[in-house]
Amino acid sequence: MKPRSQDQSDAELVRAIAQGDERALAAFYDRYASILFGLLLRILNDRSEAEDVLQEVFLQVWQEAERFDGARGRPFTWLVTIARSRAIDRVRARNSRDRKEMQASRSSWSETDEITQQLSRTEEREIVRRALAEIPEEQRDVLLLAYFEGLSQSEIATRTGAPLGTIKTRMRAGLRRLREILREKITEGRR
Amino acid sequence: MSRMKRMKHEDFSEMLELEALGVLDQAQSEALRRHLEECDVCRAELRELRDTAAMLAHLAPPIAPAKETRARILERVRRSRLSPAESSASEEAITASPPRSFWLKWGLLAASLVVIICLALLLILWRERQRLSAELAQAERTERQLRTELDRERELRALLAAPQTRVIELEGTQVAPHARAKLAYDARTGRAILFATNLPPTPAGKAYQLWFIMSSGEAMPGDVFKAEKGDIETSFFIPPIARNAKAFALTLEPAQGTRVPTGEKYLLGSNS
Repeated sequence: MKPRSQDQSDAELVRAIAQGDERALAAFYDRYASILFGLLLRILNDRSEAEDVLQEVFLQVWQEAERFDGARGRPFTWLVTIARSRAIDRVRARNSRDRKEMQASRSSWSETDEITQQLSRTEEREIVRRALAEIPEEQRDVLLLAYFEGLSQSEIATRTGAPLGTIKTRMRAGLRRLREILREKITEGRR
Repeated sequence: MSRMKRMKHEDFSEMLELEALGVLDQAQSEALRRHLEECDVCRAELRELRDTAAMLAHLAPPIAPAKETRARILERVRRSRLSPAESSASEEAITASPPRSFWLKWGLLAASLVVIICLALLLILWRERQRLSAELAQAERTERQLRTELDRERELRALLAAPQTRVIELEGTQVAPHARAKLAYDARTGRAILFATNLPPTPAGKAYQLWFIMSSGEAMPGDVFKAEKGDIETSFFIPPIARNAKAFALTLEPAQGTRVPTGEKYLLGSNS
């Protein structure tokens, strides 16, 4: 008997999508649309544009599910990577005036208070939020600037006033530290 | 590039976090990709780092997109299944702004069709109105004509039925031997009707004029008439003094008429 879409794992859903199962795509959408839309809104700061990109993302999922290689990463990572890179591309395509306005509107994004104020209803979100709170502030800031602002290494260096080498070090250390903390927290959660 | 060729595993290993965060430039990213094809360790490491970076997406508060977005995606998917060619074509359109361009395109097409249909309907209605107006005008003309004829018939019948009505027959002279006319008039009211046939058509600048020949032999001028096709059918009033005329005559005169007869007589009849 065929399992119901909502009971299937992400990998099973992607395999079904690759075989042309529209219900699997709908289930994948229902599972992640809100998380992706929140991410797109965070990056783009424009609801209409975020809706556009959300459609692009799921159509790309539909068209490229066949080529998805589970050995290279989780379906969620694949999905988020598509969404983020499309959104960042759009941000980079905007003219400098728009970009300045957008940056000004998000000037407080990298502040710890804002991150801790974002109340989470989902387990993953709570875990990530807690993990990030354990990372040194200067590492956390560069991770968030890179991830949500789509800034290059040199742009982050300019923005923070730190040398390029330092920025690279902070990014590398920050992401590795985040990985370790997440591993611990996920392991704790399973006990 | 030559510098990248000399890069060691450790150098690439240090690039993995930056690649996972998407901050490597294109050349660095390409060099790393080539290394990953050969290095299982780096590949596994990058996979984990990418999973970690993707977890950052959870920091943004989840927000439900518009309900229509889901329907639009599924609709697009269905359409792409129906037509594979359209799928690749639509992907470019989707990248630009799929739902808006889609609805805008079809919306404009639908609006254009509505405008064209409205214009066509207006044209049809306008033509119909023109046709009906023309028909109405024709009907009104016919009605006026019929009413005039009916009035004349009634007038003639009333005139002929009245005891004081006199009917005079006029005959053609040598100038118009086949011409004939009847003049009926009410001796009390002066209302008169003249029917004339077989007269020569009225020449340009001329008109037939009626004359009342009194007992004294004097000719009193009457109305002028046109006989386009040789016929006259008209009604008029005879002044009281002329109602006892001895005879009636029709001459050809200048179009505006004259005070005394100058032209030849065409018709002549006595009031017996």
